Amino acid sequence: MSTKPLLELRAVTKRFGAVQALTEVDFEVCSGEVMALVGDNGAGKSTLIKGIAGIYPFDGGEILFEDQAVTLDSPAASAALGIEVVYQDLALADNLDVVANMFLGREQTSMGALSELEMERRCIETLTSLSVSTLRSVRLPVASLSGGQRQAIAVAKAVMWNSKLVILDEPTAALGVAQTRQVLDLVRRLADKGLAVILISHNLHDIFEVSDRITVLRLGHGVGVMERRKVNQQEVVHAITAGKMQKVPGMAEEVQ
Amino acid sequence: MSAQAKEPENALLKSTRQQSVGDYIQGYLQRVRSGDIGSLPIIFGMIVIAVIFQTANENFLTPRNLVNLIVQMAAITTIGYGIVYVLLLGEIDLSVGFVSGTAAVSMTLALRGPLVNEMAVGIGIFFALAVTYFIWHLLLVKVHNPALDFHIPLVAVLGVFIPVLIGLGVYINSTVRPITLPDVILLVIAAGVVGVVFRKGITLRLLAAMIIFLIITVLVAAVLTGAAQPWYIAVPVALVAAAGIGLLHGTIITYFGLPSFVVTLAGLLAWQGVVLIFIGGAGTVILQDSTVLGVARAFLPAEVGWLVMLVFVAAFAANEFRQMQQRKSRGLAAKPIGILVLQTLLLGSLAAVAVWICNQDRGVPAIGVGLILMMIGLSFLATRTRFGRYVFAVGGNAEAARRAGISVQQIRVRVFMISSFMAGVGGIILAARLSSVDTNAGGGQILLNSIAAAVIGGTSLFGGSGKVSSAMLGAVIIAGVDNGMGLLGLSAGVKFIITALVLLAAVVVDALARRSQKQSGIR
Ligand SMILES: Nc1ncnc2c1ncn2[C@@H]1O[C@H](COP(=O)(O)OP(=O)(O)OP(=O)(O)O)[C@@H](O)[C@H]1O
Ligand SMILES: [Mg+2]
Repeated sequence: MSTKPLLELRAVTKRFGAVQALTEVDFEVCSGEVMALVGDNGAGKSTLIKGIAGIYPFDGGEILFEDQAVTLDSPAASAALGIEVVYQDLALADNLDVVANMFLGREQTSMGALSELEMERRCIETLTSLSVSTLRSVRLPVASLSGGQRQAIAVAKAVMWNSKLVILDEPTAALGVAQTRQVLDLVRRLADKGLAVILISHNLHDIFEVSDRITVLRLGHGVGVMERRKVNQQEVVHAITAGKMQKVPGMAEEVQ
Repeated sequence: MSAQAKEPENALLKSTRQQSVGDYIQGYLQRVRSGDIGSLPIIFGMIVIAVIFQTANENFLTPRNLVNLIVQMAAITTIGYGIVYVLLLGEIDLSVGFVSGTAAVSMTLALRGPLVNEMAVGIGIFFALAVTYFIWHLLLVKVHNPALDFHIPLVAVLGVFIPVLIGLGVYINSTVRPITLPDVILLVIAAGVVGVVFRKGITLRLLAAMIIFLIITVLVAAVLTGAAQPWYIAVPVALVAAAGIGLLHGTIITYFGLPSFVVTLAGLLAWQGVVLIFIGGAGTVILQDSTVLGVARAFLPAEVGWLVMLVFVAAFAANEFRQMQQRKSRGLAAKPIGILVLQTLLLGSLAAVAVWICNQDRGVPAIGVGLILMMIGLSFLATRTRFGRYVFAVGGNAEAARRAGISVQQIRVRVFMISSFMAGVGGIILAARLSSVDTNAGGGQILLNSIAAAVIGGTSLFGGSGKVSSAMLGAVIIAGVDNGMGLLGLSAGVKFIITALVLLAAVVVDALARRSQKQSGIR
């Protein structure tokens, strides 16, 4: 893990009318690490992510990407820097096959015709490099895949474009035990390959499994960054709820 | 981190192993058993229909009648091709019938000139303007060139006003006459002026826009003269009008976020009105231009028929072979050569039988070749280009398409343009077959038969799944049933009921196949 942050936000703010969604939040993520982003409902997690993705640009503050000041005012601007977002509802077209989904919006063509073979080859290459091994064929429609496989496709889609930062918004919320396992392994492998990963989740158990550091937001304020190895789940819950609760769902049993 | 489980054998890599002929056939049978039946039911349906009608009336399977069938199904097939695109989006276009009528009437009137009344001229001018403006907009608004974006309002103004000025100039300075050289020179100068304005960023798109602009200018000017026009003016006038109508529908649907059902229902009424106004008191207008009539009445000489067949089959084989080679060279699973040979032989013998039968009668109808060419072109557009991919994506999950940076609205508008344009082509084919247009042009069963053709052929009404070729297969069934019942002299009532049952049967088979696919996890 490198120590210099890939992306650094300094005192970013965002206001929606009367709602101050983010107040001078500092945030950073390094290449090769999984940075978890936690906080209660309405804490501002999605708002922070959307600011980085260029969907709702920040009102104030500084953004540094690879030590350069940048403006992220459109999804295209973020994509150009190598920032990819995996949305919670995945945004896959069920009727299209895996290859078509992976390349949606960025199809390779030669002389106006789709270069299907080239795309198929690259798709297999990417999936293999991510050790997605349960897929029978990349020509199956996405509708026929399991939840975990679909999640894997959505993640693979995000990492195929020389992306440097992959953001996952609650990737395991809808998954079963085995499929959660698959996706968490995949998240870990991304970081081990040297990408920076931001993981939003309400499941502390998952977060403690794969993350390196944890940023806690509360009511639009950053309340701290913790080294995963140095804290236990109770301390994180404490930070999230400002001490009002001792336990949240998904917490490991032994904490009780 | 818990230790990672030992990786199982990678199933994905297994899929890149080369298959043998046996594997391939086994895979195919497996897919059929699990409900991925493709066009099997429809082929079965064709056989059933052929057997029933042949037993009832021995004239059904005669060369003469089969050639007739091809000409009879041409219009609904063509309109059905466009409907497939609309259905792929999960939308519907109820206006195609009278849009086809409007196109046919516009063409016939332009061929005959002078236009029947001022109203027709007015509507014609309005459309030319609308089309010009929208095409410019469509082509230029997406150009990623700031210097160019600045000029877009200017472009719109030029694109709208120059054609009007030229057209009016021609109209006032002359009585009724066709386009002449000075008009064309004027147009080129106008295009030159536009070119100078844009010298900063001449792109391919811009060139295309300029050419379209020129063509439309010629058409407007030609129509404004009120003279009888040659077919090469009249046919484009009709097709541009049709595309413009689609643009109008698509824009209303996307801009106001309205359901296509309602907007095209309004279109159905409005274009029926336009047909009535255009025809005026004439009742029936006879079509006399031999080129246009030839669309439905030309037949290829026997040798040419064979030659065309050979070219098609050879092109099929060459294309499949190239595909196979390329897949192999990239280490992807490819179709075994044995299967390719088998498929080519099958296609070749089917085509040979068809050509042989046609040659027993008047020969292969030119429109039959036209139908196949349109099918190849539109299939290519649907399955091998970005645009087609986006049509499927929007039909499957519009939100995913939007997040992938696809302009969903633009795709919608273009699909409605395709649908109206194909309706225009179908209208011209129908007019050529009937050799006249009347106040009911585009009415009757045309709309429902075209939609039924696409659906019977297996295109889903819910978007995201279907094939251009399904329109042709479905049209064979619809036209075949219609033709057969005509031979038997059945009443219109019986015809309707039987057509309804055929449609129902097709949808039921599709639903059953879908259910079995769901159970076996294919979809
Ligand atoms: N588009 C918007 N317009 C107005 N207010 C908004 C908008 N988006 C978010 N907010 C407000 O900003 C605050 C932070 O919302 P945000 O969606 O970032 O929370 P979150 O941490 O992602 O919560 P959750 O865990 O429920 O997803 C909330 O008070 C919310 O009401
Ligand atoms: Mg959220």
